[in-house]
Amino acid sequence: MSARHAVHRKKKSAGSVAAGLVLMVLLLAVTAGAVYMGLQFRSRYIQRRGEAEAAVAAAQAELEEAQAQYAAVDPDDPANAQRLTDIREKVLSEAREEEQKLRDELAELDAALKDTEAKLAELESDEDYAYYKAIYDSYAEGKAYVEELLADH
Amino acid sequence: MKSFLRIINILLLVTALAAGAFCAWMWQAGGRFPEEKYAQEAESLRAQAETRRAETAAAVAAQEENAAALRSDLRSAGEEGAALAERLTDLRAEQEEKAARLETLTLDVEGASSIYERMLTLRKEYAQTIRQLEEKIVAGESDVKICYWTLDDGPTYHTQQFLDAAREMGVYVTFFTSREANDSAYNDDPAVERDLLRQEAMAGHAIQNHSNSHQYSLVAGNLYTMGMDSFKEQVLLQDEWIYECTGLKPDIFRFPGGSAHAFSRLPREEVLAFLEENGYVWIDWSCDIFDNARADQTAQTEYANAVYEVKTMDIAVLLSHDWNANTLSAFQRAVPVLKEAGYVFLPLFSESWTIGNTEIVFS
Repeated sequence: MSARHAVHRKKKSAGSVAAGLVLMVLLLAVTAGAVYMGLQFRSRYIQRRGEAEAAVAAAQAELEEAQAQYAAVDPDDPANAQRLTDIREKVLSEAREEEQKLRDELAELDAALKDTEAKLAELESDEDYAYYKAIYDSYAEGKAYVEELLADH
Repeated sequence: MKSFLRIINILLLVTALAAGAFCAWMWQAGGRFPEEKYAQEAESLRAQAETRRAETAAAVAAQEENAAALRSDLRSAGEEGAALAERLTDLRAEQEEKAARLETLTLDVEGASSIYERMLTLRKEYAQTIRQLEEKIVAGESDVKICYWTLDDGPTYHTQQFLDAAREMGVYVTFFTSREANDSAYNDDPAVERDLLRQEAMAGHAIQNHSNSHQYSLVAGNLYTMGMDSFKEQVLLQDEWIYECTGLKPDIFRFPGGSAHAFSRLPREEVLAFLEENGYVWIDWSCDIFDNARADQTAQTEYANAVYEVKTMDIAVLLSHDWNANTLSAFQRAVPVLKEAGYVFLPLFSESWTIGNTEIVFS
């Protein structure tokens, strides 16, 4: 083998190694890109699933809350039926209190009426009252008569 | 070296294919994610929650309605509630009725307590109403005619009869009273006199001042010939007596014998100032029944005088005396005739148009 041929073979071997290295770099890049994208897709999948599950969980919580609120007023629940009975008792109790209050007020009114009637009777039995009342009535009658004259003539 | 690289590259190729497969799998999984299913489930749950909330609201409303119905109408609370409701209704009605009665009674008490003040107020209103009628007559806007029938010198033994006659005929007159004018002739009892004055007031007649003594004789009279002090005393004595008997303050003075007698003997300005200071206006008369000076007058002539004199004017102030029996008869006969002629008979108050506008006629 000539020296020239040996040099040619040496150059050809070096080229083959370089090509192998380039291919290796390319394969590494492709692999890294595929792994990266795969991880991205996975992460997005997990996020979407989390959001969807959270929405379902929130709706579930909302329903449970509504169920609890309804349970508090459910007319078929004996506890709630008792509440209505309690209201009825309270209303009746208030009415009884009002009745008593009215009776007390009436007693006060009766007393006030009695006092006022007595006072009026005392005033009316006074001779001067009867006298001035008679004058008042006469003036009232006379005034009405003159007003009638004014209106009619 | 070349072989090593080849092996490495083969391994890397396998890895790249695996990574690609992983990437494709993840991409595909994302595309197949059942988002719609989750959304539908959440929506379904929310719809159930909404339904429950609506049921809750309905149940709450029903409860509140029940409670409100109970509160507003106890009858919906069973037999006991119905009985209570009935009792409450009765009690409230009773309370309302009694409260109204108490209010009325309280007003009555207030009215009774202030009857004197109310009577004075009404007297003023009455006088002003008469004044309005007078002004209409003077303006020719009314066909009504007024006769102020005045009776001087009482009370006397005939006063009661005049009062009875006035009541029977439904007319009002004016008494110009003089406490001592008729003492010597009738020996009047003070209690009877007081009673007569109060009867006059109660019947709605006017009671005015005609002096205490009525003594205007030029020789022995204490009204005009003994100076201002004597005159003032006689006016004020009568003023006090009327007030003591009736509780009413007279406000018109009529000079015994007429104003000309007084003004010929007493200083006119001083007399008028004195009267004004004491709340008086004064009046004579515009026509005369002539029952005082002329002894030949009979009931018939007095009647004729009254009718004739009064009919000459639309607003007449007629002079007469309540100690004269003929005058009583004339009064009973003339009033119906004058009423038929359109005259009304009213009491004379100080607000009257006739004050200062009366044409004086001397008997």
